[in-house]
Amino acid sequence: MTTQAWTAQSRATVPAADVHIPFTAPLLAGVRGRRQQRGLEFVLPNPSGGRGTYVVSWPQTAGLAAPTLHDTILAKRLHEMPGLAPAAVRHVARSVAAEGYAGREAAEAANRAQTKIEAETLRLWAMFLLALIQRSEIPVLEQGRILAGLGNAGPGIVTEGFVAGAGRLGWEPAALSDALDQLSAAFLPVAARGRAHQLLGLMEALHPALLSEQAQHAQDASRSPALLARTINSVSHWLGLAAAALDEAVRALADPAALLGRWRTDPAAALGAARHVEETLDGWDRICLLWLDADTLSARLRLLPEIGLLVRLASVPAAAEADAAPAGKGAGAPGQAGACDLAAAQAARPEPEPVRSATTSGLVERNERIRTRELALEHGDG
Amino acid sequence: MADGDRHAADGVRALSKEFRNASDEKILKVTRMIDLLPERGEADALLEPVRARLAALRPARRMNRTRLLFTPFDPVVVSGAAWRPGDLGIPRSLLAPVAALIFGSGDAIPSIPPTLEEGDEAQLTRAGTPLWQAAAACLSTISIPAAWETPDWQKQNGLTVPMVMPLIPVLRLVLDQAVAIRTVPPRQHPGCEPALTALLSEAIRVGPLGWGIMLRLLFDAAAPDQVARLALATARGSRFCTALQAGLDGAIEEMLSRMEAPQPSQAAEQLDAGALSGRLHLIDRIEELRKLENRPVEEQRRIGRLRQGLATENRAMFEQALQARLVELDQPPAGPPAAAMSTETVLAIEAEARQLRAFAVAAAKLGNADEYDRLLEQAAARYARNGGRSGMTRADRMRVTELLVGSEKAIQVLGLA
Repeated sequence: MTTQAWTAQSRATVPAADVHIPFTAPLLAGVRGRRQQRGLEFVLPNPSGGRGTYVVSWPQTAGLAAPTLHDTILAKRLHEMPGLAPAAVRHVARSVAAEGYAGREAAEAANRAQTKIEAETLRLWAMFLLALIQRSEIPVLEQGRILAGLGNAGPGIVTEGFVAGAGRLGWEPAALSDALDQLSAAFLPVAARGRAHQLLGLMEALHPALLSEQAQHAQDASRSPALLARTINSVSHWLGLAAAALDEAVRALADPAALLGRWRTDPAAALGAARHVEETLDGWDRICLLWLDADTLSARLRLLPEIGLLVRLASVPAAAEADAAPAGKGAGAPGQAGACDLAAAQAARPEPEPVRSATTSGLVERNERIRTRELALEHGDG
Repeated sequence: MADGDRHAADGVRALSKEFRNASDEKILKVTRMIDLLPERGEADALLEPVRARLAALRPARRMNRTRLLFTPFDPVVVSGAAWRPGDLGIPRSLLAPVAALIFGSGDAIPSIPPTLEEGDEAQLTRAGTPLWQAAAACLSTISIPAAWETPDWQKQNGLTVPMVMPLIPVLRLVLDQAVAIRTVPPRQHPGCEPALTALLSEAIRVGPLGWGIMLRLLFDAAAPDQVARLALATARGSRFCTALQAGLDGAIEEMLSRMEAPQPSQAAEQLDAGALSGRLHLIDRIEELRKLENRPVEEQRRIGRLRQGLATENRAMFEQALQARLVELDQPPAGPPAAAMSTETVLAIEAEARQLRAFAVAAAKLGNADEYDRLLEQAAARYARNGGRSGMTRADRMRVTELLVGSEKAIQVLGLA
């Protein structure tokens, strides 16, 4: 287990390499996961609410943070994944929600999201292919014949007409299919009315709301103005990064044929702009939706410490943190974490109820409500 | 009293009697209508017999300026008929005349935002701050109007000027300190004890009545054992030590008497969110009272009896509610499995399970923890067994199990560990 103090100065402009995991247990809110050679690791906030994070394996996470059934099933599925990336985690989490483990409403939202995502991915796939055809030197009449011959081709589906068309365009069919599949999936959130635009809108609304709270904060002597100031700074910083990243990705998507051209020489570079958007916005849906869920001033004031914690987790460069871990407390293999660190975390854990307490149950219900909205955001109904 | 007035008063009394036995839904509807009246007048008396139920139901009520003005007094406002001089409370019949006095004083009294909701404590404090400060300043200079000396006024309000006079400085004290009372930091916060001590020191300056009423307000706003300990420490340094200690005894006595008063009757199947919240609050208060130090043996026995009585009542109520609201909902059909259960039904079952679990966890603080666990486990096992036949999905059944027995047990039971 690694413990590291977080400082604003240490926040990198490069987003964290780890991924937000949409768990529903209160103590797992904002948790991030990452795939290491030794297995899956989770970055948890300091259970005492203080500075620092804990990097732990799933069994340790379960011991510390009373995961819900939904979380346990999601963690199991994540362990089966070869690597973690924001979109891939969202896909797996959506399937767990669709099975009903976050409640019926989340299941319905997940199913709606999946349907819309599939339709929108197909639209983007076709847009990329059409751009490639139009940019080619193939006569217009023949272009029409290629399009008409595609049949049922689409993401993950290669037809005879597609193979013939790819050859005419000078592409290996498998390479073109890969390029179209990956580019359409990666740029899905960036497309018009996509998740990234909506999420950026939510972040843009969160910033002035927090500033307005700060202006009135002097009246609440027991609250921490420093925490609020730090949170506002982080939101402002990441809002700038996210807006720039999205702007760049939108400009890239405006020329789909050029993106396909870049893919041929360097697939990672072609996907770079979209991936940067994903990484920059990762985890901010939970933060913004949590804020929106608080419908009274009392609720918003109660939320400020939690929002502060989540913003910290979304901003912390966990990979860099692990690399910088002091000797002897480094990111040891799961299960081999320093016993005294684990003991300290367990001691700091809020009253470990063997069952859900009234408060915990209420928070799970709230987190499931937010999970439903996260799913709605995925298909553009946020 | 004129004939017309007498008939109106009789009418309100009759309605009020009928209203006492009305359903929660009807109470909430009538309350909403009364809140919309520009002048509440006699209509307010309708609410008198159902105030305890209203407190438990906690409806979000639209706030007006008079109600906001007296919000800091909520825990100590008593009906005019029940109030006696020297009681550690404020008679409700005094509120409207004082409000009229303040709002008619000519001083600049701030207005309030139009969309204030009673349930939003922080918003009320923000909106109330300038109002309470202005009202406190107004009360420090105001003189009692001559009209209050008239028999009509005294008959209408059940009060005389000598009864009212000692209350004015107390009103001023509470209004002046309202923000500090409402924002006492949590117990573990380093600012908590200094804030409580400062409030108690302010109250001493107003005399025994102000001290007693402040204690009652602080018992409501903070942990009673902590307030009592700091009150004793503050009183020891005062030359009125004996009177202040008597005031502390009086405030604790008041609190115990209120808790000993019969709770609004609540059928088991009506153990809804409002009633649940009231019960949970009562359980917490009793647990806090047990922490009071150096209290007389008889008082400790009273607390013990209260605790025992509540534990017995809770246990019976829980079992009935579990049976009526969860077990009977899950009667598997005799024939083939039912069609898929609707989302609304599943959500309703989950809400029931969530509430019952929350109640059991809180009620177990007073005892019978194993019994509550056993009953919940039985209900969970029943859902796991029958849920499929009643049209629930596997995930639905797993979730109800989790809501009833907690995630750790559910993970073990369902073999997911």
